[in-house]
Amino acid sequence: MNGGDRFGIGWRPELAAAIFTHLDRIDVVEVIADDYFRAAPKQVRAIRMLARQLPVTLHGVGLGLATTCALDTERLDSMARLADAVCPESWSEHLAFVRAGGIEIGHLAAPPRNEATLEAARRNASTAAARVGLAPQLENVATFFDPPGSTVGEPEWLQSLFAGTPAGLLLDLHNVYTNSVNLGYDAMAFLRRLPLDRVQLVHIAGGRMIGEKLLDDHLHDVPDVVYELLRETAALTPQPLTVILERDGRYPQIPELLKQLDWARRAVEEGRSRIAA
Amino acid sequence: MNPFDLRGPEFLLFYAIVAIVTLAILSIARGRRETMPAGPMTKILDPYRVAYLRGGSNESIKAAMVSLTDRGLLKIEDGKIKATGDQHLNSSLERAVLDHFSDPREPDLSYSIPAAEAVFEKYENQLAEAGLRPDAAQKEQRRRDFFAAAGLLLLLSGTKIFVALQRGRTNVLFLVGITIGAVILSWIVTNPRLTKLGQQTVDDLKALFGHLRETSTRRSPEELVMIAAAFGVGALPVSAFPSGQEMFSPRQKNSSWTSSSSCGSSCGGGCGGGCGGCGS
Repeated sequence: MNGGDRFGIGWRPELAAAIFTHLDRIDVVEVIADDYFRAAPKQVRAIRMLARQLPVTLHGVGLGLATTCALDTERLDSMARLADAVCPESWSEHLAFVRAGGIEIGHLAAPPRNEATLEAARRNASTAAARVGLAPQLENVATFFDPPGSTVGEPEWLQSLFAGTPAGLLLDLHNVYTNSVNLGYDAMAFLRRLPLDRVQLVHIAGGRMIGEKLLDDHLHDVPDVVYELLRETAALTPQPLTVILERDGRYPQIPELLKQLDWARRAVEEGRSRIAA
Repeated sequence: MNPFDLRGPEFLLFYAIVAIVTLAILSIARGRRETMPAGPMTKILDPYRVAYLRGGSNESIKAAMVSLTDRGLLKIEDGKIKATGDQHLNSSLERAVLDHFSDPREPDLSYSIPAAEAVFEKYENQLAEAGLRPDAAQKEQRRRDFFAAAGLLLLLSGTKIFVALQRGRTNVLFLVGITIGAVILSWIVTNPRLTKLGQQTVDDLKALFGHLRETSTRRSPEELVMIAAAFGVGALPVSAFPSGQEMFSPRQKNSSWTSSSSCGSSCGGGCGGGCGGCGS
């Protein structure tokens, strides 16, 4: 294993006590930034205290950096203020399409993979980096269908995007798997075509089938195929990885989540050993 | 204007203002000195250290007792607390607590376990390194602050008493009383148990885990011990920790312990005498 590889979990109120009780097995936590945009100062200060305990990364869920219209400056300012107050080691947002014509769609929709969204995502990432003072980690999103209006595939779109921005790729492996199921392609082959040299953060999670579609609901255990993707990612990326387990409900006891983190550790270790070989 | 020429009531007012300003300066100066961390705080705040930070060794022992009881390793039976196993212990504090109760003991309002002193010494050093408890240099600075403030206050009142006695006035008892009060207050202001950063951290922890005090009665083992650590055992809902009253408030069976997880005390540990201090 790369000495810098780290493994953490999403900070949720339901898991807070369990996380604090098992800090010996958790290297980093990811805090949902939007939950604190309107929080009382004492709540924000508490997250700052948490960030002194162990590395914290802020995760935004509402900016939608692949949106072609202007960014929500109020939300971006909130993220900047929060980052300033908390001093996280990194922050992230989704490469999603969330608004148009002044209307929020309330969903992290996959953007059409074309020149217009590519240019918008580059511009938005640059604006966000300048405003927050730290380049964001940009997360690939899940989708039920291939976004209409696309002219290139997601790997090519991501390759082009990251060629033109200093941002990192937050690689959500369950989103990769979800899209492979929903769009009918080989997840492993897809993974190998991504700009993996830009990956620093990795998300793992679980979902459930709805008919023939897979829903990335973060309510279920991480499936084996995601560990396989993680193993492959570790084998293809010499840089240190920070792997975050996302769980948003139906919380099991903490030993179960720690076991999933252990499996992630093992997957990364096995991938790293392939590099060494 | 010579303040020592002021009449009794006027001088007392003058003295009170000087004392208040002195105390304010002491508090602000200490706050500025003790806000920045003296060292890393990385992962030091597990529940037992949180309890120690908030209220000292007694609170830490109680948090460990809650966890051990919840895990079935400690129980109260026939009015006595006794260890019932020693599997899967998480820390040397838990070991010391279980050893302490290997012979059944009466429950008490506070607990002291000599075998755990080494553990608490380690906690103390870690918390001091992190700037949460005063280290040797800060204690020395606090001592100097106190003596400077007390010296000023004593000099002022001593001079006035001397002048008054020279002028044949002997009604100085009230000034003596105010002086003693001001000196005691100076000691309290310069020597709180925690540093400013430490108190802020306790407040932050209470904010971070405040949701645990809401009305839900189902609690995971980790939540139980964190409630005990951050708020005190008095904040534990009786439905989630039925042994609480008997274990920590043995002489106050009709206390408010059993009412709910929220007892209305700002320290959270004031129900039924189980608080043992709010960390200050």
